[in-house]
Amino acid sequence: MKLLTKFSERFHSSKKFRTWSYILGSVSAIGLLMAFVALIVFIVLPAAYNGGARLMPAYIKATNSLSIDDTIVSSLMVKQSKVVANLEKQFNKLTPKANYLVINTTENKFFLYSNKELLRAGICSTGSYTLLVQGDKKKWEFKTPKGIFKIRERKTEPVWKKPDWAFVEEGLPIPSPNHPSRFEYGTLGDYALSLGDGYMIHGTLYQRFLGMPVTHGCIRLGDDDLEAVFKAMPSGAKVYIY
Amino acid sequence: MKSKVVIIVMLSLLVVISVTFIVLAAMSPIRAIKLVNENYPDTSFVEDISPEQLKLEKEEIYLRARLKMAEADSACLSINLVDSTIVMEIQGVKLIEARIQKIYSSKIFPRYKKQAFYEYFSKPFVIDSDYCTIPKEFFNIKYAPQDTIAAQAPKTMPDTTLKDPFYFTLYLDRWLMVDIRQTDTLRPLIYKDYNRHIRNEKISKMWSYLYKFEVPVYDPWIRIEIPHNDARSIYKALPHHAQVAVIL
Repeated sequence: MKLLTKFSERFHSSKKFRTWSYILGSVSAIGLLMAFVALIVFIVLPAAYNGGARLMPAYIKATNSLSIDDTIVSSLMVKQSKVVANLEKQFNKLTPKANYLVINTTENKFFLYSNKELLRAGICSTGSYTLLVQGDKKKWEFKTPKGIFKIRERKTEPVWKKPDWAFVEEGLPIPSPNHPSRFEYGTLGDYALSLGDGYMIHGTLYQRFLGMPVTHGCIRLGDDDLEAVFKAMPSGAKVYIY
Repeated sequence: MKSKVVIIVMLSLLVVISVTFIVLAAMSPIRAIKLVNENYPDTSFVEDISPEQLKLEKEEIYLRARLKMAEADSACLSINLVDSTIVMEIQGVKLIEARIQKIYSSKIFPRYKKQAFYEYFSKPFVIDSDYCTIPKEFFNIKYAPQDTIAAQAPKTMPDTTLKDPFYFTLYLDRWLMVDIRQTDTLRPLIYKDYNRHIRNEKISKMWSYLYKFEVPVYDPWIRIEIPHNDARSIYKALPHHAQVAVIL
């Protein structure tokens, strides 16, 4: 009581004492509030989210729960192992047994597989990601499409029928659909495998660009790789492009 | 004296509001756990199952999710944090497989009830949106030349973004966030910008709840580190709303 009276006297008489009292009072209040928050955050809330179950020590939980016979547990696990093995079998069946080709357009690489065995890998060239713009009228995107494709047609000594963009790109007038200037011999190499919509896997005269994204959407391979892929991939074989 | 009272009242109000915000923010992971757990009467938690049984459970969940994804004909992603592998596949055919170098994740997953955990991870997630340090597709625009002389001029600029550091975040449905980073921090400035963006996203999302005095929605997260080339190939090939299977 005496201490409180003394405190009150000093509080009213000294301005400095008053200021310090306010500061210390505020700090203590904040400290108390923080302690309260910590209590809620670390003790009350974790207990609240599960009706206090998480606060219960493991050994109490073990004695409270029904003891399950080990044999039941192991038979359950055997059953589950069979389920997992069955699912794995189902999943593995999804990989084609026949030869298939995988193309990585970001790295410009190809991988030829038979089932899950890698037969051949190497570099290729894919779409350049160029947008060719002709006035306000026409636009062409030079990118290799991604997804699952099938070999639709196989050609030896293919002839390239130049599309309109090939003339636009060279600053030439577009000829009629069957004009002789549209047909180019030898440009596509010795073989071509059609994927549909004008996209092909073919050879190239510009071997030095292999491994770079330089094409108009087709996939270019080196001469030896092209021959190996052509021989390994029959019509209907799958091509996965990503 | 009056002004001091006003200051004290204002300060007290500020402290009370701050404390309320801290409590609400701290409650958000608990809300996330409740959201997942509330529909399941099962009382056992993931952390209560024996390691052998849990491993089998996880394998089953993961395979079921991958089989479900294989029904679609577009590329999808399988992230296995148990085996530390990330696989990109189409219809079950493996396209890329990369080894995960480092794994970090929210601490809330073991608090899921067993049944809730099973339901949460056995269905593939779908990418709602993403954020990356480089664009998914980089197009060079080339205007058609007027004549053959103009056609000889240098054509396009090379895509320099291919060498840039690669960090991306996939925001999946069912609140899951997957942060994929390249292993090496080659350009610290890009790394800092990326971290800042992710942090700001989280803060702005949290504020949208806090200013209404609501408990914020907490997004459980997974962060993995993989080699640069694999991260780049995966991000570039992943369709916008691709499916993702995750097990941890």
